Amino acid sequence: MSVYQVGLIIQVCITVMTVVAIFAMTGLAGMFSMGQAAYMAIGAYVTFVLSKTLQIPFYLTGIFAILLSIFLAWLIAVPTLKLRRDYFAFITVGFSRMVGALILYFEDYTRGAIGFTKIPRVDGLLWLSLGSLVLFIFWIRNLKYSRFGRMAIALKNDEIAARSFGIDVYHLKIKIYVLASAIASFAGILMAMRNRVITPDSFSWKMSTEMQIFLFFGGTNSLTGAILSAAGLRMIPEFVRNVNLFGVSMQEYRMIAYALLITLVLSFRPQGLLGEKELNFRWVGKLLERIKNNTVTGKESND
Amino acid sequence: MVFQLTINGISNGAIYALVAVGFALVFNILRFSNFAYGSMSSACAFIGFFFQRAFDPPPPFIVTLLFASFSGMVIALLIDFLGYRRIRINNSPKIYYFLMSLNFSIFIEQILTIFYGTNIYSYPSIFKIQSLQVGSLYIKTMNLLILGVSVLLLVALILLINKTKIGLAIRAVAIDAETSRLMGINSNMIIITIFTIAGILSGVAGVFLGVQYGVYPGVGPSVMLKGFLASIIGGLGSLRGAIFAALALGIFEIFLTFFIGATETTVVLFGIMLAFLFIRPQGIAGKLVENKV
Amino acid sequence: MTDVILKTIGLSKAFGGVCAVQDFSVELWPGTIRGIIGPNGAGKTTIFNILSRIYDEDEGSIELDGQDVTSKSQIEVARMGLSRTFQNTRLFKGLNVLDNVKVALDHDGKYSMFSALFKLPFRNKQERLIEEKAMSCLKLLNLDEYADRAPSNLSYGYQRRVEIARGLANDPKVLMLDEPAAGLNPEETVMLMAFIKDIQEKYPDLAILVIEHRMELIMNLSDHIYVQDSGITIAEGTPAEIQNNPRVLAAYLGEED
Repeated sequence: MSVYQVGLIIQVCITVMTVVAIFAMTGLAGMFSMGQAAYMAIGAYVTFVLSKTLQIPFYLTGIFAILLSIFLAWLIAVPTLKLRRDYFAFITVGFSRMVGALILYFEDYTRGAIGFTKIPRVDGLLWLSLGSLVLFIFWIRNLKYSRFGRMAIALKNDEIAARSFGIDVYHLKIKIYVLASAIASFAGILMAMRNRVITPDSFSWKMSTEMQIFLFFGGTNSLTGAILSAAGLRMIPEFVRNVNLFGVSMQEYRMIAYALLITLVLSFRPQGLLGEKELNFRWVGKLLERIKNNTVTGKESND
Repeated sequence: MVFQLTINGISNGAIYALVAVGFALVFNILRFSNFAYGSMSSACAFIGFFFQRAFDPPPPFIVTLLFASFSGMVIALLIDFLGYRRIRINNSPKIYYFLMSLNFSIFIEQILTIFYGTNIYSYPSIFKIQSLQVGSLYIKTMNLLILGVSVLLLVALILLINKTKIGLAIRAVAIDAETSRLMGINSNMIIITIFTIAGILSGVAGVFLGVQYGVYPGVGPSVMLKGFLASIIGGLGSLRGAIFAALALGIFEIFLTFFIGATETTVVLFGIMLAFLFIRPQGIAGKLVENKV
Repeated sequence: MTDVILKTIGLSKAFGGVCAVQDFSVELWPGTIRGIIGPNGAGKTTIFNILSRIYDEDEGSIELDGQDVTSKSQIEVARMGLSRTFQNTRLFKGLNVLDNVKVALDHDGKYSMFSALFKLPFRNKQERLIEEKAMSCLKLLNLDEYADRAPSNLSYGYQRRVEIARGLANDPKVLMLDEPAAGLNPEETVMLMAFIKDIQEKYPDLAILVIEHRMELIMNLSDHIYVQDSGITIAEGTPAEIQNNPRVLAAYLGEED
């Protein structure tokens, strides 16, 4: 496999894992956040800047970075998750900007807009990415089919009714938000390891929006949808890399293409491409049973 | 020195007020955040700039302003028609408005970046006299114009809301959209009106932003956040509160930037926003409205 | 005589200048049904909202099972055994019928998020228990065949019944039904009344408080009725007493049935 292909797979893993985290936050619990890229930035910068400055191995600073992200996520969540959804969304935009501003402020350490370079090569990044992706998908899928997933979907639908069943809406939202931010932080570290260079621009709220677009495209209620659309939409631009339009590489049009796509989806198929469908072993089981019924008895099954 | 900073701050605040009010209108009455507002202003900054440059000799500034506000209105209505209208019809959850507005925001900014990205354009000087001197203070004529136009627009808007029939309809919808519709208020008319006003405000704000800070794709969005901040501090449901908060914010920001620098200011402002939302989410003048179950 | 399970004294609430509820007092015993009737806008749902702590009262006190709950939150009071349904059915979309019932049990599910993420044995065991309890609740009320349907695929009458079943899943002490027959045709209404009578038999200790604005429904179901008009209790008593009360009849004159 070529270096390019490996790099692409890692990038797709990073994108998918972040979107999976956003699925838990937005798809399950209905929180709309533009701050996920900020947690990626925190993960990336804290890990490698501290590692270089204090001469500590990055896997130690990495753990610290994730813990720091968890703490910050909790700090943001506690006052703001009591508020209306739009307030919360705006806070996250502000938070994103603040993180960007802080990175520039600590220029001496982070190299500001020029970018922090010379991040060490890590062997086995491919397996780390794939492995952690599988873990996170495992987690979020389990979350969806647990009592937390049910309560989250309930509160997303109707907070007041959810409370009338004793569901502690506020604390559940905090838990899920913190979880999603921790995953994003980890993804940020992976991204730093893949790109070997990080700049504040790579973690703007535009990236957060891109992730939300992927989520809504696949369908906010479908984890499978989120995974497929994140992988698909991330990979497709790669195939048109070398095509130019108006003297500008097609890549620049990526965001515009996403914008158009999502406008269509939000307007005409708001439930997303996959709607409520999930890839389930149950579903496969039912299908097999149907086939069995049809061939064995020769009659239509009563399903 | 303090007075000088204050004078600069007021015109800074005046622009914020335009942004805050335009944003607050949609936020309070249609109950969603129009994230696209910022890039609408950016677009109008560009439009104003090219309009100004298209003619030789350049047209009077007022004409540019009018053209920009007209463009702002067109853009606003387009965004509503292409984006929000379907979501309204589908009765989708509020989240969809956020994403759609973010979407448009990015769309507009991307287009501007692709075609004009790397340059920062600056408006040619509008006035022959750049600044007036009053005692030891220097007041830039542009700042006076900004203040004047903003005051005019905002006063006109407040009069519209409080003294006209359509203003009454807007206030009714702000309190209870459902009942207003049942009482015969045409919600489509209201929506078109709101977006028209927001569009005009963003157009004017865009040109002023372009003049003050230069014309580049990101000029609008950064100010939009401060406009939102002002809406919060001023209070939910109160346009007057938003205006005063925006002015205060403008002045405060100038002072802060002078004393502690621009980057630190961003952090401080964000901290203030968090603090407000924590301690008093309904802002200074606003009242929390309970949801009917 | 068992103790009263739900009691309020002098409940009042005003919105702005409008008085929605004034000096409302109710007593409810286990195993009985009481009704609140009144024309539209009489403040009945507001009473429910205050009782379930969605609204704060301006004046008055509420006691649930001997404990003062006036200062408790909506969540706390729900966990203490106060259950309610809403005027427009609020089943959760995105969850099938069985999950909707499970969700009523979930706050007490006992396993941690860590357990959930890793699908640990304790979580599996608790999930089985939740499923059994939810299923048996549905079975008890003859709704189990709809377990894996999406709520929007059920007729409105069945949606209502599922919502009521959901309210019963956690064995509440008090069940408050807000206009359960609203939007049902005559046939469905009859079935609903049979359903509620069935619930009374199967949950003998349950106290039920019903809001309705149609007289004949309440008459058939409740032992004791409170008649509200513009926030005030204009009469209370047994169905027979209420039926002949001139003030009640006057309030309903001109009301469509």
